Amino acid sequence: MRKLILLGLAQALLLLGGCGGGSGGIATSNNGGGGGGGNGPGNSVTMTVDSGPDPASGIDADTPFITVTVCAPGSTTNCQTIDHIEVDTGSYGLRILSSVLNSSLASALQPEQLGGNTIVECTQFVDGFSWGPVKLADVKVASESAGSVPVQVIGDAAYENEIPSACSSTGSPENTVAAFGANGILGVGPFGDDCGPGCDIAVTSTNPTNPGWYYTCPSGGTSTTACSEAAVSESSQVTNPVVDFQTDNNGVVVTLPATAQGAATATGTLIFGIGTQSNNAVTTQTVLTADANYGDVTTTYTTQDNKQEFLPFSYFDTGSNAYYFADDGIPSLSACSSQPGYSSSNPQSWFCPASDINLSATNSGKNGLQSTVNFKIGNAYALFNTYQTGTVFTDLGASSGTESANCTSQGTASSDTSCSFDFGFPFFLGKSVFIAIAGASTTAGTGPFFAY
Amino acid sequence: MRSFGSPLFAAVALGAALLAKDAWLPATAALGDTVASVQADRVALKGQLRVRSEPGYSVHEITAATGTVVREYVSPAGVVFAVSWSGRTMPNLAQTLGTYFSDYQAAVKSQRADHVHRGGHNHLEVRTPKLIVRAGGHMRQYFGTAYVPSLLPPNLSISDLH
Repeated sequence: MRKLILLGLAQALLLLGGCGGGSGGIATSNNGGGGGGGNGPGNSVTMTVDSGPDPASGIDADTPFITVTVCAPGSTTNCQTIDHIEVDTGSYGLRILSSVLNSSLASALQPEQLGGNTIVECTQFVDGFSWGPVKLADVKVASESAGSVPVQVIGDAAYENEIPSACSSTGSPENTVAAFGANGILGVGPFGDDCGPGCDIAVTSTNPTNPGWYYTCPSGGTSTTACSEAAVSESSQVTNPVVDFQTDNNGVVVTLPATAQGAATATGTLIFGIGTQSNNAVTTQTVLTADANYGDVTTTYTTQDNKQEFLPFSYFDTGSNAYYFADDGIPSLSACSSQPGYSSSNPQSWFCPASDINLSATNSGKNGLQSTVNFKIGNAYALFNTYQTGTVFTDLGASSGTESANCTSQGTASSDTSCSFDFGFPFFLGKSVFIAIAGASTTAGTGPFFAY
Repeated sequence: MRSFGSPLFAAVALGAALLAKDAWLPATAALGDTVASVQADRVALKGQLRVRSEPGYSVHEITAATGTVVREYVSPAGVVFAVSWSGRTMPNLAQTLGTYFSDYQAAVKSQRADHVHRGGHNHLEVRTPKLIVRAGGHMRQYFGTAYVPSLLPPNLSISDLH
């Protein structure tokens, strides 16, 4: 009871303080409360779309953020409320940039250890890697809380001078707020931990099946050979905090309003749990069961040049700020070179059709259920130019690659993960999208599934 | 980084790399390398490597123990002109891109500084006069293609590759 009263007080204080993201600052909290709140059962937090914590180094468009409270394990006083945590349904687990942690909390968070050294992760994003130790923290958001959750602290100085070459060779580092575009990222996709059973396979010379995301490292090492690749059990891997909540732990619902084109901001809700409260029941939505290995569904899409594509590696990703797919018939790259803001030296692959294109795609779950999505693709450069203070765009699209011959037959598509349609942030506008975690049971079936 | 020695040396180095398990994928011939290095890899990697011929090019497909598949596309002139990857983990790009890896890293850094609007973490487009890389996916699911336009065989389009 005492805890409940404290939480209520904390929420009131946070609401008075304008909590919910968008202010750009990082508040320090001296209490144990979680961010967000509002009316209703207390399992929901306000989600804000804005230009991000560091717009000077790149404006975040179509990127949703929440505020999360992180505490030293067991402490109700050594806590920090951190805004601009990106909500990402395409990854799993909480990661925070080291530079945003205050010194009191940073020094209190203890790393996970294995054999006397620290567990450090090389997190693979498509556009780069993030390197940092796994530390245990209490995570509080809305009225939910999870104790001693493995969280990655990205860019922790004690481990920055010993990045193994096998990690740096996966791409380009993203270890600062400027490079990352957020103060942290909360992965609430359909898995409970980030790597899965593969990273728990013993690392041996004869059985090189561990994908090598985790290492053990000495603190303060200075050599690229100081760390050793390590097998890490799923319970010690960076964990989707939702699965560690006492209740409402089987998934999330991402709810965003239909928003005017080019709006400066939008406000939605991240709801925890599926079928556990009055605000998260699956009703009229179609449940699409996802693949157990990848968390993907199958999309069929017909390109502008009338090729039917089978895309068995398709997904719904708030961490992608556009619809990303391959359609060589929609202008992109050099076909957009006359557009305002096009960079000929570093072109982005935004689509730039002369006028909006109405498209549709059909999604199929492993359960055989289908749902057709109608959507629009506009000219991204014209949108950015017309709405210069805008951060919410309803029809942003980009090419994910050249159309692949593999995707035109079901046989070859099934072994090529580039046969993929990424329903990014614009898809979520005007919808409630349910994301059930693999293995979790819900009133609408067992995860992994998406429903909308 | 990579060795560009004889095929024998490459095969020995490959064996050492496999034993040391210091890479996420077995050492492979890299973008821009000759078919000779692919052949050396093929000898060392039998069982994990499948080679097939397509009109105008050949494909050397390596399935790593992690399940990630790397396809190397070899021109009639015997040069690896494109590579692609697909699977639950990213390949070792330093190895896969070979001498082009530094161009890749420089381009990613330069575009982060250049772009007014961020592109997000789950897609990547690198386009330099020398190298084109297009990648996507999400955690536990990654794909991408890298190629050198100047090495692309005539009358072949990237979208034709199987």
